[in-house]
Amino acid sequence: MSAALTSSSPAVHHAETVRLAVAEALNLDPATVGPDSNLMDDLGADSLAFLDIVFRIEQAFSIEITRGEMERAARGDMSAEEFAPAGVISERGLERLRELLPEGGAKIAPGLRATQILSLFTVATFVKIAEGKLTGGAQA
Amino acid sequence: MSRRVFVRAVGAWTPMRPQGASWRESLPLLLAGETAVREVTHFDTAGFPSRVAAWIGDDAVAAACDRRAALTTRALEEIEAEVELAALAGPKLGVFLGAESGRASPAAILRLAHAAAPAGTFDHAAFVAHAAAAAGAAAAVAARSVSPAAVASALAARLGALGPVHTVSLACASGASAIVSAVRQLRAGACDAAIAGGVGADVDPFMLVGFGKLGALSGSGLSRPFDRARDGFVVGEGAALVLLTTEPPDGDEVFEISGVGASLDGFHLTAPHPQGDGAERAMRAALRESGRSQVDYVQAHGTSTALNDAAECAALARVFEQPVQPGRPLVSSIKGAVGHWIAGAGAIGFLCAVEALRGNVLPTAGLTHPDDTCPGQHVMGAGRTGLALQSALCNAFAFGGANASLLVERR
Amino acid sequence: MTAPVAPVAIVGAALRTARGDDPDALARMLVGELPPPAPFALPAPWSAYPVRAVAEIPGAPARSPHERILRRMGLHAHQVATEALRRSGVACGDRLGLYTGIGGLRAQWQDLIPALRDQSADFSASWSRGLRLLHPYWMLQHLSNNTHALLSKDVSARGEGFTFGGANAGAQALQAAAAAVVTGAIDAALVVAYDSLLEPELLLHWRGQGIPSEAAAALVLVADPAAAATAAVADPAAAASPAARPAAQAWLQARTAADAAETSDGDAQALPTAETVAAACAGWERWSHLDTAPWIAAPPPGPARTPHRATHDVTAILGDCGAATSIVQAILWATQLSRAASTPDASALCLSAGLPGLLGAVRVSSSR
Repeated sequence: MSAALTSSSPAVHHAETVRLAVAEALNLDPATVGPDSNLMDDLGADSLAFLDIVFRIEQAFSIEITRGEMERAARGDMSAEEFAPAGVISERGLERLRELLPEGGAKIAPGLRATQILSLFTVATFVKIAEGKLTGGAQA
Repeated sequence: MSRRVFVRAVGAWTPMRPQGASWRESLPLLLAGETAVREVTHFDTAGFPSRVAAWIGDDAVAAACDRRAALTTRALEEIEAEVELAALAGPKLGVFLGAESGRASPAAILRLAHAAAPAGTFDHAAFVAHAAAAAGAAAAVAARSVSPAAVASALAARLGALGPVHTVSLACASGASAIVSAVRQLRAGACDAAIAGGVGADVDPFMLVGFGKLGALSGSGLSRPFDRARDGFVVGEGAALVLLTTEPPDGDEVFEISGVGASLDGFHLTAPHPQGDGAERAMRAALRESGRSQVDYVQAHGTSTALNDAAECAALARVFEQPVQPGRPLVSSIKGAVGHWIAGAGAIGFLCAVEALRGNVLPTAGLTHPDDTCPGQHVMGAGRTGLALQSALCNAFAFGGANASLLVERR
Repeated sequence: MTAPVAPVAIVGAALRTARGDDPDALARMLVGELPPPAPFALPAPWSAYPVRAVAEIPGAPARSPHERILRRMGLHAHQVATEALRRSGVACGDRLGLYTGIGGLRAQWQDLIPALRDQSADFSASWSRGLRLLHPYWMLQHLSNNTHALLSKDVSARGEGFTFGGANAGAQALQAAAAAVVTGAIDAALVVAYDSLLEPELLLHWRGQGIPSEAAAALVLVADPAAAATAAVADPAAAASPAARPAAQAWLQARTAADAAETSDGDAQALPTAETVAAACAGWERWSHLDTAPWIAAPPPGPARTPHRATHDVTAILGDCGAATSIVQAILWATQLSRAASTPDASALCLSAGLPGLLGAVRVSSSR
């Protein structure tokens, strides 16, 4: 945490806190975890590891991230039905994903299922979620 | 030569009425497509990931020192009203129950935890010193109260059963697996009669939060297996029991468990095998034992979670890909109506399979728009009555990929 | 009268106990060939409890990626099961069944304390007062079949699977596994039981039945002894180790019963009655060794056709191993009977009992 503490920028501090939370949850050397690391492909996270990562981020920032908020990170205010009718993400849904989760890159393609969204997540995705939550909390 | 196993009587205690209902009392409500899922009001669920359950608001059950035992006793009473069980007492009567460990009340746990951790970490001396003054709370966490086997043990004592006693703690497959175990021991001659089934008593703050934090519970608060809008299961509670005998019962209604099957996915701690590989092997094993390739009805595990329902339906589609009769097998899941009983789920499911052979196919409550990933001959809306069905399959699949299937036939 | 379930062959074993993990040494200790070991001590923190001593497994389980889900005993169980399977050499896959016995879920107070610290007595607003702090893995850490599920994946046991609960869960698992193997539902069964009685809420109520202890123990069972012969070839290195000797041939049967659970008196022992013991042991009157703790009502004498009878007590050397007891007994007697080849028709009747009213009975013999 020392790097984070010496930083004057809150954004750097947030990013560092998330990075360390991810490394701890996955039992990895923090040096191997970068902001653009894809949680599943690069770091080997499974769906259970996501739960641990979210928990650690919640603790670190004293925030609560609900499942609904995780979903909104991907589809914004679009309804689940519109986003992924019958489980497969619609064309509009894909557009929304490219906008909200550009880190998904080429994986955002026709045929992608709503259940596969976590495969798009990078460390930076969680930084965005945490910061959104912190900002939202400040406004409330 | 393996011995045959027959269903002599059934009994249950369900949440279909707010204070609880016997199986007989539940049937008209279930056939009408009603659901017992409602807001939890007996404890504060503010902030919980899911705030509904199919729960029983019976003061007597609530006051019992072991909720599991209280529910199971109610289910047994329905069998006792029909059959003179005393005649079966002795070394040839067994008990096979799906049950998880019990839990003391939150108040008792809280009292001990507060006393044991004055400084935030568990202090053994403080725990011992306080427990002496709080004997009630301490007894509530003692082995004899919370042992998974306490309910089966109490049943054996009540019945005078001196035969084998098994308690299957296999999460959501416990109840069906207990019946599998009973069938095996009956066939092997370890007993001639058995009380078998399961009980779920998990509508409590710890379990709602525990399952909720895993993301397994419905955020919308609806149990709707196979529906395209399904988003997780809803916890339910209740008990279901069957009396199994190797002697065929008298009368017109002779139901035989002609096949049992069990398997392990060996795939993942929480996720099912995506194509339902283990589910398929369990069903095929049950079919093989009974010498059948088709059934008329399937009481599916159908939890209302995205992955489980899709995996099960994929497996069903492969197992029954060439129906001998169009429109078969009919498929439904009781969890839309009574929620997910966890250790009791397979047992209440099995009662539904038997009921189908009596002509009454219960619907999947809450199912209105079957998902493309869940193909099948779904029974929606109201149930169907007056059907002449010969065979029914009941599935139960657990967290961790443990699967059990039971095949029952009308003789 | 119905025929009893036929005996099945033991072809692999491994265990962890408070006196180590070598079945050969433990068997010698059990029959008095080795001098009695030093008495167990009462180290902190257990000295806070009303017990004379405790028997702990020395050393921690080997490091494992499953530490995020499994506790100490679950890890031990995972490891002994993996070892037993390797020593047996039986094939994994769709024809290997997995049967687990657990004593029951324990409170794990330390996990709960952060979630309970700020709760009010009526549990109102319990989420914001602390339940939100429960880790998402809490449910998985408190899942009866967590070890079973991870093990089935790791060793590819994809035949049928059961997890049994209660103080005689090891015997339940053996009874179910034997029936499955005999009827051909599977070709081989991996049976593993684990339990620790060194838990605050259990020690609080300890009433002088031996030394609270813990163990993890695993067996591999097959119907066909030919499988045992191929086993030794499959992994010669493992088969050559002393710990693999149970594979040298012994036969097993198991039964369960329960009663006497009706007592609500906090001090009552609620252990199985002599009638229950007699019912569970019917047809097993012919034994040369009896393994039973002093608190279990003795089985009926029956027709003593075997000339030499001796009584032993596994709990006297290892303490009360709870749900693991039946499997520990089976391993030690399989080892002993295989070792003492001079008594060709020897058999051991092993009893274990625990609250509430649970009985496990295992018969181990040197010939079918």
